[in-house]
Order: sequence, then structure tokens, then C-alpha cells
Amino acid sequence: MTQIFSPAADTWLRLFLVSLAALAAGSVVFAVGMARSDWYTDTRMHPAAQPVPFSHKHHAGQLGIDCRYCHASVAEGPHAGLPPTHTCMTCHSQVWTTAPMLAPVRASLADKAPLDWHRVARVPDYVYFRHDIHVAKGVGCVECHGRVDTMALTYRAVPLTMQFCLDCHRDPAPRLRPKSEITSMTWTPPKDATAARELGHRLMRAYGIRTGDITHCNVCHR
Amino acid sequence: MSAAPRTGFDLEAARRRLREEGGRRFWTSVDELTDDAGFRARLSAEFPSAAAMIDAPARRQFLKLMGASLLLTGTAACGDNRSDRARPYVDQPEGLVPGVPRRYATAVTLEGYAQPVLATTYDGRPTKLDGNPDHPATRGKSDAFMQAAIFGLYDPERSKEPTRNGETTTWGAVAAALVAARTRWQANGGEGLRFVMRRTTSPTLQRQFNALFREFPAARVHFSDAVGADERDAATTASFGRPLEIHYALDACDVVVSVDDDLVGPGPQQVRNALAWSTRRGDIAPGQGRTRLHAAESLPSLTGTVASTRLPANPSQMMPLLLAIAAALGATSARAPAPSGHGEAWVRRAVADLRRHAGRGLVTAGAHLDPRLQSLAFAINAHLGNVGQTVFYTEPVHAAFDQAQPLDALAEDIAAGAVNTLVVLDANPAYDAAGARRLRDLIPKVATRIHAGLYRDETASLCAWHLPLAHALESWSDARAVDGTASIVQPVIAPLYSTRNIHQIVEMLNGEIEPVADSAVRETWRRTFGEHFDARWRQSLHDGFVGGSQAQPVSVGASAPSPIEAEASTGALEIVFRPDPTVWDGRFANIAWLQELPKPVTKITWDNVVAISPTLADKLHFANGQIVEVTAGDAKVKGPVWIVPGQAGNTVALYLGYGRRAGGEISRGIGYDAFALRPSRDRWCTHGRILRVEGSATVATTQAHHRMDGFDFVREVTADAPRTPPPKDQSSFYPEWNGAAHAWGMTIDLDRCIGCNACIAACNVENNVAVVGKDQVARGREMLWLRVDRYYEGDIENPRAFFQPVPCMHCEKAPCEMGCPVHATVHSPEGLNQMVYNRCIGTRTCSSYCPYKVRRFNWYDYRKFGEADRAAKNPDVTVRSRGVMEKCTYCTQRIQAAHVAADKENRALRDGDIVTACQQACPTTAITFGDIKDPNAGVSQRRESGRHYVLLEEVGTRPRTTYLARWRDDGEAT
Repeated sequence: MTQIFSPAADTWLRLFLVSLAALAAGSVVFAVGMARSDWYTDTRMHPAAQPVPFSHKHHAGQLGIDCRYCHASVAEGPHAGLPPTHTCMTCHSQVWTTAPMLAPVRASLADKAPLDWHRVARVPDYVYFRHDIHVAKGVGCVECHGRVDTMALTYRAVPLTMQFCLDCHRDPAPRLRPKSEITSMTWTPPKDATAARELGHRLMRAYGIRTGDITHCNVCHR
Repeated sequence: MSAAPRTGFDLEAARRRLREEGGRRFWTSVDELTDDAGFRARLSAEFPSAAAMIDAPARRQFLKLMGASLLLTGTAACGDNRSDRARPYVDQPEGLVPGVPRRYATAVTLEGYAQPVLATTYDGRPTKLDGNPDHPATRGKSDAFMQAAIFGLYDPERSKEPTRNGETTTWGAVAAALVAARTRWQANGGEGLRFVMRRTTSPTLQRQFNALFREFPAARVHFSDAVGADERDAATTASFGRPLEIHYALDACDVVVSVDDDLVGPGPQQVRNALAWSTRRGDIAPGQGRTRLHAAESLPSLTGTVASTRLPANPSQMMPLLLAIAAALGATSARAPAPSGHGEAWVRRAVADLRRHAGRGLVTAGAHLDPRLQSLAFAINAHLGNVGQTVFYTEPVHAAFDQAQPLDALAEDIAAGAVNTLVVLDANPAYDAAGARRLRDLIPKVATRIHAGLYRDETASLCAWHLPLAHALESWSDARAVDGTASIVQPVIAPLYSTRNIHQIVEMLNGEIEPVADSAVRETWRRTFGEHFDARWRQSLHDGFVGGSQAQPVSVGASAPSPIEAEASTGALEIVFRPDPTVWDGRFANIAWLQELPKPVTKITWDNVVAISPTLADKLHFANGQIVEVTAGDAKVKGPVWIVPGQAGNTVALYLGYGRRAGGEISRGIGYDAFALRPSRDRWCTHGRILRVEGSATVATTQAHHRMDGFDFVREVTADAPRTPPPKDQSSFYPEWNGAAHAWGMTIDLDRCIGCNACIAACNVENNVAVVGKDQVARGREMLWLRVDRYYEGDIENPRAFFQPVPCMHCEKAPCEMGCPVHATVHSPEGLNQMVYNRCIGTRTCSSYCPYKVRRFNWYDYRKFGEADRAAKNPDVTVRSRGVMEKCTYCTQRIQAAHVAADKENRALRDGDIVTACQQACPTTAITFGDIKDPNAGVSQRRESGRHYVLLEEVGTRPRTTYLARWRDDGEAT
């Protein structure tokens, strides 16, 4: 009776099993790495296509327009709010009135049809995020939206994963700032680590931030 | 008894089973007592709702399904269907903050009466209605019809554009046709012009019609109300010479004797009566002047359930009973035959209580009863000096029309050829009139037929012109509440479709071409408010009612009732008609969500049944679900029979509102049309026969679903034992939770609960609870987060009934949390048992671990909805997808909103900041929610009341939802 297996068969089998294990382990590493990658979370990647190539760098950075001029409900409601076309036209009925770049804005006003933006900083639909409470408790715009005053076209600056949210909900102190600096893009906490920590804790007391029970599920999911 | 095995219901066997158990025993259904083998098997199955999924031979198919499921579970998680679009306003309305709800005071109507509401709108979309807390009649309380109005608004099957002979037309064409018609009417003063409408309380409609009748004096209006108050009006006219409105002050009553009057049952008076009843009943200890309620009724009603003593009595027995009361009190000289058996004892107690509390008592007779009987009740109240104390008379709240004629006259006139134009305004006589069958034949004989309504219903299909009406929430209008307070109805959303409101249509009849939506209403109130118009108009719109417009009591002479004598009972079967408790007279039949609301007493959904008594079932050998034919005169209807414990022996009940032939997919083809049997005189009761015919039907009832294992679900306290036993030690192996500043808890007072469903209704709207359909309900898959269990105790012919609302208990030691393999249900520091939908993988372990059976599973994707339904969803609550578990969250979205509001002001939460949807709706304040750590909170005080107890205390789950025991006061008068 001839042999069914060649002498190398054992080696091949071992090699196969090892590669299988390596592949499995590799897949896990790949999947985890992928889920955290900037590509998957769409962080610091190419900006989304927008109907108008709006530049925060120009408006917020160079012209110094306050965030709340356009995102007017950021302190009142869950949504920061996108500016109605009328807000754009308060200035653009005076300046750049014929710029071809702004044609969609003028068309929106003329047709009473809303501009159709792509959202840049968005969370999944099972997350109930509220802007107003974060602003009220001293979380600056820059914490989640990055230096929009340097972005010619807007992109997502931080991953906005659950990990990102929880880091701050577990230890809010380092991310707080005086209310006068909420919209500031350049404010930084004191250089000295102890002083920074001290300021954070003072702000937590002043704002009455509840620690411990802002990490449970129903705070964001319901 | 014959030796052959009996089929159908056996009263003796049921009684035997009740006795065998011994001791106190609660039971929920007749099936349980007949000990049907199939019923027992259904109950003992671990997952009755999963049982019917795979048919035998099953192994191969099971493997196939498993394989497919495994493959598909992976793919189900794929895909990103979120929209990343953001569309800002072009011109944002002043003061609007995206995502922050705004509230507007307005009103919807039931039976013409205003039901004052505060409408919550998100970005212009109304999503929830609540009572208006400032309104003098309802004080912010709700009923199921009012809660459901939001689904009426978004019903995708509403009429969307005017049609002529079924072809779409324009409002311009309608106006042109009306202008032409007006020329004809002007020539003859409106001879042959007839209007059909339901009774209305709208001052504007009255003013418009008066103008119309000045121009066309020969025109006539016919009121077509399936329920209405014809008998009540006849009674007040007989007693006082003119129709009057009757107002009961149940909060001032020490004793109430109800003769077939469902005071706290469904209907426009429910909220006011329930509120007043519970206020008086309050939280007082026995012996401190409780209000006692003695009810005699043919059908078990909510009033009978909460009554101190209840007497089942056939309709023909009502007259002798009331006569006996009147005679004993000396209010009548008529000869009163002695009532038999239980009736005698009931009368004796009622009379003793009434006499002792003269001036603080009340005798009521149902508005559907023989006017002579009602007159007698008025006379007794006058005799006892109750008038002005517990009962008030005012001028009618409904608008009176000089040119009004009964609906019968319309049929006669059409038959005589005297009608050339028929205008039906928001009524459906071809379905819900007593002589509907005749009208269906006659209406097509009229030359010009115009119908205006929300749906293309039975009457619309007979009319050439159909004009779609705007829903109340899209309309400018006005209406008066049950206490006479006028409300100006303002739209909370622009009309979704090409519709016009009823006032615009009457303006068009008055010669306008393009009437403005609010011009007629403004004109009415400009006349009323005079020079202060602008200020008072704004104030009334803001408040939701016109201040000080209540109907004022009038003094009436106590005229003797028309002489009556008790008629000898013929012994024939007495067939009574009732509006359905969830779809009313059929006007709500197309709202799927009301169809799925279990009827308060029978817990039946999606159907109407022929309700019979256990005695009759025993006599005729009927069993639940068998098809029977009910015959009265030459008319007959067929429907499934249902045995209702506590129903009077010789009474058969038929429920209106089903058997629709038109008016939307949902309403069509379910139930039988009880109107077919309804006589035009003596509308509420007739005589006839009942016969078993071939077949049986599945009736989807929830009464046996979600059953708990245990005992003593409902408890009672009495004057002798006014306290529940002290709580047992609840030691646990599990570590204690580290609590937060607050600990949320809820108490439900069973003494106040009237089982009215308002809480379920409010919960459903607030929490986007899905409708699953009759087939799924029959499998036990209804999604209601809050169920109201109904238990019986005692003899099947007159059991005591109990209602018990059961939401999630939010156990401190929650078995579900231990069971979940993926931590999808976890404990919050504030004690909430949180459900995290996006983690749930659907093992349903939590549900099998839950001793209270409050968890609901999404067996299918119930989210497939159109644009209109989508708009109705509460944006603060996730719309759950297939394969996830869900349950009551204590309205966690409201808790978070209150936290955010308090945190923004940097203050602590106050008692009352958080009101759950069920608590807000409850007309009797049975539900209290709050922080049990705060000793001053309402919920803590109720927990200290002495009547506090824990449901299934023996399982040691330490629930946060707890109950207050019911007072038992059916003993002899104290």
C-alpha cells in the first residue's frame, strides 16, 4: 500500500496551523487598529465636499467672527445650529455679492431652498449629544472641533469615539476653561501642571459638575 | 345534566375550580377557570411568543434557519444608513432653537367638546399632546383619545385633496361649483338644502350657520351623532322645560349612586369626573368620610370596578331599582316593586347612604337610559337637596340651531324627493346613523351631494364631491370643554395636505372663494372681546382657553318626573350597544395605535366581540371565540362571542365602531358593524336572539400575556386592617450600589387607578412604542411598555375587579442585569435599570429572567413607516430596530432633560422637575414619580402612607416601582 502522506506533510500541516493562528491574531490586531485608525474614524482626513467651499480659517481666524454668530443656538439647545442663509447674506449682500463661489448661497435665498451641507462632526444616531450643557460647563469649542480657525476647509479634528467622550466624562478637569474663553481657539491652560490641575478642579466646583454619574449609559444613550 | 361531555362554557365547573383553590384567589380570564388544556400549555411555555415560529417537521428547517440567521447576524450589523446631511433654514423663525421643543396651547375635540391640550412641537412638528395644566376642567390630565390625536394628524390614509366622482379636482373647482349652487339656493331660499353634521360646541360654527340660515331660511340641519346626548336632552327637557347640561361635582360627594352611568369610563366627561372622584377619594383613612360609590350596571365598566358595591343588573332592571330608591326616599309616589335578591340589599345600602348624606350625595342615571329614568334621578337629587351641592345645571354647552331637525326626518324627506342638496360636514351617517342602511340607499337619490371629512369614508363614497378637512391640530377653530370653558383652537402645524378647515368650508358655502384659515374664528371673537380684542385674543391663545367662560349654573324648578311604572320584564335577551372604549363610534378606527390599545375591561385588541355573561354562556354552551349570530328584528350581525365576568345575566353587549366598509385600510374588515342592529328609537337597547353559527375566530386579547408567577399581586386594606404588612428583610448576596444624589422611584396607587389606559397611551406616544398588528398581539408580542393588568376575585357572575398598571420595576437587584451576556442592561447610579439598545444582541435572556415580565422584544423591524409617521416620532427617544429588547425607562429622556436644565442653572433638581409621561397623563394622580431619597418628595410621602407594598416582594428584587394597596369599603355603611 502506498503512503498517502509525503514526508513533508507533517511540516506543511504545522505550517498551516501556525499561519492560521497568525492570521486569526492578525485579523484581531488589524480590526482593532482599523477601528481606531484615523481613516476609519475619518479624523484629520480630507474634508467633506460642501456646496460652498466655506473657510473657517477666513471667517473665524482672519476675520475673527465669533463662533456663536453663526452657530447661534450652541448655548441654548442640543444642536449648535447651522446658520440660516439669511445669516450668510447679512454680510454677503454687501461683500462678494457677485462671487461665483457664493452662487449656491444666493440661489438658496432666491429659491428659499436650504443649503445642503455635509456634517463634519457627527456622532452615531444612538448618541444624544447636547451642546448647551457642555458650553455651560466650560468645555471649549476647540476641545471637540479642533483649531477650526486654521482650517481652510473643515475636517474632523478628533475621532469622536466613545473612548474620546468617556475620557473627558471620567476626568473633566483638564478639559475645562473659564466661560469667557469658551470660543477661544488659542486659550491654553497654565503651563505648570499643578496649576492647570488646580484650575480644572476649581472650575469643576464652580460649575457644579457631577462626577461619577455622568458616565452611565443613559446620559448619552436612551 | 346529561352524561355527554359538555362543549362550551360550564359555570359549575368554573365555580368548582374557584372553590378548589381555596383562600384568596385572583384570576384573569374565563379560560383560566374552564381549565382549557390549550390555555395551560400556552401559559407554561417558556416563550409563548416564540412557540409558533417553526412548524413541524422542524429539525431540518430549524438548521436551515439557524444557518441563515448566523450568516445574517453579521450582515445586519453592516451598513451605515445615517444621513450626514444638514439643511439649515433659509430664514430661521424668530425664537426657534433647533432641537428644543416648543409648546402651544390648543384643543382637540371629542363628541364636540374641547379636550384642552398643550402640544409639544419639535422644529415645527407636533409629537406629543398633554393636558393643559391651567385649564379649569381637566387640570392637565389626559385620556387615550386625546393622546392618540397626534396619530390622527399623521395618518397617511387621510384624504389629501378634494375629489369629484373620485377624480382629483382643485379647490377652485369646488368654489366655482358652490357659487353656482348658491345661485340656485338664493332663488328658492335654500329649499331642499340639507346639512348633516355632528353636534358641535363651536361658537364660530354656530355664528356661521346662523348667517347661512338668514340667507337660506328654508335650509335645515340634521345632527347625526352615534353617541350624542339625545336621551339626556329629552330628559332635561321633560324635567325642566328645556335642554340643560348636567355637571357632577364628584369631589363634593360623600356617596354616589350610579344607575348604569359609567362616570369614569371613556368619553368626554372621563377626565373631569375621574379627576374629581380621585380628589375626593384622596388619601384619607377609612372612617374619615370616604366617598362611597354604589353602582348598578349591565356591563362591567370602569365605574363598577372602582365602586364600593356593584350590582350586575339587566337594562330592564334599572327602572325598578331606581324606582325603589326613589320610593324609599319618598321622592316619588309611583308604585315600586321590590327588587329581587342582591338588588334588595344594594338598594337598601344605597338608600341608607343617600339618606345619611343628604346634600352630599348624588344619584346618576346613564345618559343613554330612558329619559323618564333620568328624570327620576334628577327628582331624587332635588328631593335630597343635592342640587347646587353635588350636581349643577347649566345651559347646554353644545350650540343650538333653530333649523335643527332629527336625522329620521332627512330620510323621510329624501324619500319624498324634497332634498336636492346634501352637505355632510365631518359626519358619517352612512355608517354610524341608526338607520344607516336606509340612508345608504337614499343618499344617492339626492342630486347634489357634498361630503367634507378627514377620510374617504362610507358617506364620502356616496357623495360626488369629497372635500378633505384639516385635522384639529392643523385648524383654526374654537370649541367648549365639558365645563363650558371656551378654547380657541390654533394650528400647531401647517396643513400637511391640500385641506381646509370646517370654518373655511362653511365660509365657502357663505359665498367666499378663498377664505383665510383664521378669519371666521377671529370674527367671532372680535365680536365677543370687543375693543380689547388684540390683548384678549393673544391671552386666550397663550392660555389655551378664554378666561371666565365657564357655563354658569342656572337654578331650575324641581318638577316632578313624568309618571312611570316599572314594566314587567319580557325575559327576552336584552341587547345593549356601547361605543367602543378605544375607537369610539368608529371615528378613530383608522388609528392603528388605538386599535392595539387593549380595551380596559376585556383586554381585547383589534376587534369587537359579542360580550355575554357567564350565565348565558353556560345556558347556551358558548365558549370564547365561537362565532354567533345576533338577531334583532330582521337585522343580524355575526361576531366572536366573549364571556365577560360580571356582565348581567340576560344582557348581550355589542360595541360600535367596527365593521367599517371604507375610511382606510386599517379600519376596514375588522369586527362587525353593530349599527346594522341598532334601532333608531330607543337606540341603546333592543331585544333579540343569539345563535351559534359555524366557525370560531382568534380574538387577540392581552389578558393572559406577560403573566407573573406569585401571589398577592394586588392588595387591599380595610378599616379593620388599615396598613399593609411591614416590608420583609431583603438581604442579598450582591453588593450594594454606590448611590448618586438621587434615587428615582415610582408609586402607583391602586386605590386611585381606574384602568382608563391614559398612562399606556401617553407612554406609547412619548416613547415611540411600535404597533405590531393583530397577528403579533395574538402571539403575545405587543410592545406596550406599560401594561394594565386586570384581576378578578370572587364569583364569576359578579367578581370584584382590580386594575394594576405594571411598568418596569427598576429593581435594585435586577435579575435582568445578571442575565445579560453583553451588558446591554445595566444599573445607573440613580437606580435606573438602563437599556442600551446599541449593545443588545437579542438573546432575550433578560426577559426570561424578569419576574415581572415587563420586557418587550422587537421580533420584526416595526420601523417601516412613511414620511408622515416618521414626523410623529419623539426625536429624544431611539426608534428601536429589529432584534433588540426594550422596556420602560422611567422616561429617562425627561430625567436627562431635567438634569441638563438644572445643571445649566447650577442648581439641584427639585421635586416635580421630572414628570414621567404616564404620571402626567393619569387623570386620577395614581402615579407619582420622584426621588425616594428626598423625604419631602411626593413619592416618599406616598411610600410612608401605610398602604405601601412591593410587588412580588418574595423574589427579593427590591423594585423601585411600588404600589399602594386599595381601600376595601364594601361593608355595611359606616
